[in-house]
Amino acid sequence: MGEPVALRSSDAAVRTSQHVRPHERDVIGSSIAVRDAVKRYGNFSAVDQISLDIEPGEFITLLGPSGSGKTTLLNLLAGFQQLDHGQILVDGKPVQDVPTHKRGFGMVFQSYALFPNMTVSQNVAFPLRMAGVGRSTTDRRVAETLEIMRLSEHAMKSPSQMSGGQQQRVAIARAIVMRPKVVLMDEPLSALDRRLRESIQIEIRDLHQTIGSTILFVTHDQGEALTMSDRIAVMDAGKIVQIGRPLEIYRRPTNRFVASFVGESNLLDVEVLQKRGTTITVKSRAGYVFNAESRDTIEQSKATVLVRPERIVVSNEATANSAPVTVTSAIFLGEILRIQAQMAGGDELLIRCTDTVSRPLPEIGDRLHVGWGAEDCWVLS
Amino acid sequence: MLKMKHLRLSASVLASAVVLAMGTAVATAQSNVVIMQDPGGGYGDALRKVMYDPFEKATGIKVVTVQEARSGPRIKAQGEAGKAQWDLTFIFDQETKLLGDCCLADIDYSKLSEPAQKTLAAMPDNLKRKKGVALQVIGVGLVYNKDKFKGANVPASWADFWDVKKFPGRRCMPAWPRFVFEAALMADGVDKSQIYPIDMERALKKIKEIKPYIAKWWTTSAQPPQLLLDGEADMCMAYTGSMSKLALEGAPIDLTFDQGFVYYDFFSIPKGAPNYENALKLLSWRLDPARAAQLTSTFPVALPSSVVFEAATDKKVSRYWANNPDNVAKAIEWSPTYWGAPSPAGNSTNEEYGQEKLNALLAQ
Amino acid sequence: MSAVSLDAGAKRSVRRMATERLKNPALLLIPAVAFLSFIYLLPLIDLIRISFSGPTWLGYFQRVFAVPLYWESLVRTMQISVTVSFLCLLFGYPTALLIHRSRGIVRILVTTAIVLPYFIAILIRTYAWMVLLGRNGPLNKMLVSLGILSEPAQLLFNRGTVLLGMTAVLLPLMVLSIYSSVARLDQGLTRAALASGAGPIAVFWRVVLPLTLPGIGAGVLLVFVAAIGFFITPTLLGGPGDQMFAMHITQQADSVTSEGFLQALGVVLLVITLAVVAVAGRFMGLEFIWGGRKLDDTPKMAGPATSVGRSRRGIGSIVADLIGWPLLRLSGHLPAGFGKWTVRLMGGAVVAVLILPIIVVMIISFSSASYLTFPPPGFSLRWYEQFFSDSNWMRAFWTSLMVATVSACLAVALGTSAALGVVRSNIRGKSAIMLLLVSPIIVPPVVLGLSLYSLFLRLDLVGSVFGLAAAHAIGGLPIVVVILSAALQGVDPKLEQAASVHGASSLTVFRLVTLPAIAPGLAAATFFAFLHSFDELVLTLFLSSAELKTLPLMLWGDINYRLNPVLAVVSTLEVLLVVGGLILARPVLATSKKTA
Repeated sequence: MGEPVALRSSDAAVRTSQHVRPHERDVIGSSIAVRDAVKRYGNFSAVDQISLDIEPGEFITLLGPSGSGKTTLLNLLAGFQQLDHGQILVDGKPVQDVPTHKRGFGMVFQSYALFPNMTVSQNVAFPLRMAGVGRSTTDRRVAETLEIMRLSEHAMKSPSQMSGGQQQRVAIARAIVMRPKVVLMDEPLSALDRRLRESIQIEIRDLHQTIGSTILFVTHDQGEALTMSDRIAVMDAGKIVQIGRPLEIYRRPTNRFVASFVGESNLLDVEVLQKRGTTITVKSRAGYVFNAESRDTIEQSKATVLVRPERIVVSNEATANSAPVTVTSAIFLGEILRIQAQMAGGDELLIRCTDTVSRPLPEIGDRLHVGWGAEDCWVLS
Repeated sequence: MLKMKHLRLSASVLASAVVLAMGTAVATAQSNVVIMQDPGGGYGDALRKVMYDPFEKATGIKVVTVQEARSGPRIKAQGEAGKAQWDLTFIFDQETKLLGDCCLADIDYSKLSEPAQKTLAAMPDNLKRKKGVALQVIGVGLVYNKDKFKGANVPASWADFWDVKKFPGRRCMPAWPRFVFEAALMADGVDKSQIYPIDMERALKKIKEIKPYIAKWWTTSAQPPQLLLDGEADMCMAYTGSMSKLALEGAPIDLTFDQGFVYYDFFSIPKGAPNYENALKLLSWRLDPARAAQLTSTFPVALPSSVVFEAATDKKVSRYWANNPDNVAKAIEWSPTYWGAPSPAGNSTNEEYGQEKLNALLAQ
Repeated sequence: MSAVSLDAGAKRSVRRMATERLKNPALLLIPAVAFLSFIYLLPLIDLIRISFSGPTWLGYFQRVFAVPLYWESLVRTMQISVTVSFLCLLFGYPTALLIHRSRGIVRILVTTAIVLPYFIAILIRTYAWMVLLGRNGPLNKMLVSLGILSEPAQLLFNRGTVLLGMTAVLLPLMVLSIYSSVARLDQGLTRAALASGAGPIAVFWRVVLPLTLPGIGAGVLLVFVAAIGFFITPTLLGGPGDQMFAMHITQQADSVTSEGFLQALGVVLLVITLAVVAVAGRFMGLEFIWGGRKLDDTPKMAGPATSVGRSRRGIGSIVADLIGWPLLRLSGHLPAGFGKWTVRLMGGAVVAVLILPIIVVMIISFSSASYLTFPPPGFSLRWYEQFFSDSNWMRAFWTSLMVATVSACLAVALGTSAALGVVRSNIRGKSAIMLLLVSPIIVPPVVLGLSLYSLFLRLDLVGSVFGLAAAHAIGGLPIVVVILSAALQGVDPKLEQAASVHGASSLTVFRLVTLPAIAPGLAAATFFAFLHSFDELVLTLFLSSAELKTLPLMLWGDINYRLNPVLAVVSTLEVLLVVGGLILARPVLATSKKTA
């Protein structure tokens, strides 16, 4: 009974392993390199010396809160705005002086931006017609693309007659009909409700595998970023604060901002007792001593450690390296129990407990014992 | 301060409006007033000074003037509504006939004063009608810049007006068929006794010749003096009244009554006028030759009786008057009857028909 | 006993029902509707009656169409109106885009250049053109000094100046109408088009233009309808060959013999105007008249309208395909900044055309010369002194002020009540009532003046202050209704409900909740209703007397007589009045823009 309950690894982590490598796809997307990009509005730097390398065919997400500069960066890539400084290279060629319509990108907008004066098929045909593609080819490509997006039966409809999800699929169809080497997506799902969002997330992922374009995806929804991306660039205040694969971003955030922005987190201020390479022994304010891991060896004597709520093992009895806590709230959320508890010394802990069957719902004031492994405790730099 | 002034002023305007509205009611009750339509402006001032103020002093009857430029439609409306509000109005020649039955009272000439009878005796019968009496003779003549045309080289007829080789320069004419058609026919060689009925096609053909030399087809009487003084035109068909005044004041213009036109404005008493008797008294007053001459000397609008011309004190001034028998002899009596008659088209008067034709020509 | 109490109860409930009914907001529509029925609809009906009263039924109309003068003038009026609409569109569209695209100070300047003339009397703006193009005007002076002309040329009084003047006068209407459509355009759409590989010109042709068609349609119609009834500008700027239809009406209005025929002319003009509006309304809804959105009770209209819209789009896109694609290929060869520079150049030209005449007039008002010449030989205030010391001008000024004040009060009182009725009641036929309330905007003023003239003659109101003010209020009322309906729609009815739940009577609710919320709109509406009356000339020409001379009437008389700098003084004062009013109204306009 006293054994800690092992938590399943997150969905995001599982998905990541299924990703198809770029070279297995039909179309090879472009590589994109951003060099020292700067965009200022008056004194405010919306994009502050960003450098970013995107591999051909990669699905990369710009994740950050509003105002972090992610949309500005996307607009710079699209050519809607001009760089104040720096360079953008697509397949090694600078594009900052190429006007938007000559960059050959596909783009999906948050507001769908479907032309209300055109039918669905006219909307999808638009980029082909602009490129001067012949009528028969256009018709064939439009039909194919609508087929892929499962929109064939709506071809003659007006966008205003369609639901939000359908409209966004039309917008995606329009963005990919040219088989562009780069597709930019500006918060395409944020106007949709949660269930629709999840289904289209999967659709976009599958699509990415089919067409193989490089996709640059902007979102403020960390769940979305984790689900979909090959890599995530977390942005804050005009800078990229961390870039990495979803699992790495989630498990090994470099700083407090990333740790708290991506996923739920418990951040504990601790005192460093002992350093053995990247494994460090720390002591919480309440005197609870445990092991943690860090990316590099650290010098300072104080640190902050991250423990994800689902990695906390809960038991009723004290064990070798467990700490006692007092429950301050407990909510049953269906698949999990969401428990808030207070450690001695005042640290608050959030616990997500998946064992909802054998464990009765704790009551406020109950005493529980919590613990975690060294690999689940990450020292922030 | 400004606000105060504004309040006081707007209050006074409002008050005068109220007085005007109430005026008629008060008038009927007391009957020591007479309500007279007034043209306003310089003419109105002259009337007040020469005619009304002395009249009020002499008779104790107050002259209430109502400024209104065009009375025909209002008399008609008042007549149809059966509530005449004016005692004396001035109307066009044709309107004495058009409005005679519905809206105008008979003038009882027997009740007019002795001096007035004298004036009337010297007037043709056509000017003292049952429904109206001619109190103004209006002249239209050829006016020219005397700096430009001098000595023997002075235009004296409409043929000269049309002769752009002998008399080069820009012209101006009214944008109406009246006078212009007649002048065109005379310029084309028609004798002045043979003008009516007018051969419109012939007139129009002649007008087409002069059209390129017309700087402005004027529409208000104030325009020709301005055009002449500004040098925009050197020769105009224009009203003689204001032109003679300018000439006397030393403007470089002169005019001729040769082949000019005279016509008359009539004074009538609306049917059911509130102060009929007072209207007759005022009419008598205005027909007095000496006073009429004084009025014409003050403002150049003449009463069409030779008696009035003879009563003028300054012959240098009266030589321009349209009631000067010399001038009248040179001029043509313009025919309102012809212009008011039904046109060949059947559904309009000759004047309307001619206007349509002229406009069409000018529009080319 | 019980029967009595039952009876009393019934009485009480009857009384309650009566008071309930009295509280129905629809009742608020009655004053305005009654006012318009009496002073607007009735005279128009009478006008139609008289026009049919000829010897034969259609006698008078036969003359209109039998005499070449009239139908030729009708054709000419149509030609001029179509040309002016086209010119306004051609220059107005880039200007609207320029406003939309510019930022900061440039935007403020361009907007001012458009909005300011919009509120300045047509008479004054036409006068400004007469000054600009006159024999001693700046343009002649410049051409002579450049050696292009040897002596000043007659630039006025021809078709060209009529078209120029009318286009300049009506341009702001077009620009504002298109701008409202352009401003509503989702920026995402242009970006989407760009991202789909469309060049700036293709974006304009395939996305911006089709989506702003409603604004274009509304603008073209408003301009066209206004142009058909135009009278002031062609009279002053045109020659004998530029007679427009409305001018025949004023020309013959004085004659006693033309009764009936005159009315027939008016009816023809009215019918043409209404027919054009009706056909346009069939396609785009009649809301374009007041530049508004559809009212809540028009779902029935929305149905067929959208189906029409769809078939029209079909044709539209076929046309776009046929002409558009080859055109786009060609335009692809144009230099990159072509579109941008077209917009800047044409917009700049429009701003110059709208503002320059006004500036020239303002400068001339300070001239020391006794005649119109530009540049002035010296500067002085003598014309201002003359204006303020001339009793005729001052009297006309105070008369105008009083008429405009009475008219504005009348229009605001009736209009506010009507706007409350329209917005807050749930009666059927709301659109029809709104249409009635705003329809005076589209009736040619000449026709309105002619019809009122008969009524005023009969009631002996010609030349009365109140009569003239009431006549001006016919045009002021729509302005008030439109502004206040928009303002009232911005007031949450829940606020009013909350106030009455907490014990406020309906009047108190209005005073404490509704009134403060619409106060800015009310102020703006009052100002515009005042300005409408203050600037009004055409109705005044018919309805005033020698006794009652308003400022525009004096101006009109003097413009026909001589162009002296006193007129420039009056114009400058009017410009200052408008500028002052707009500065006062600016916060209001800003907030109403936000809520719109």
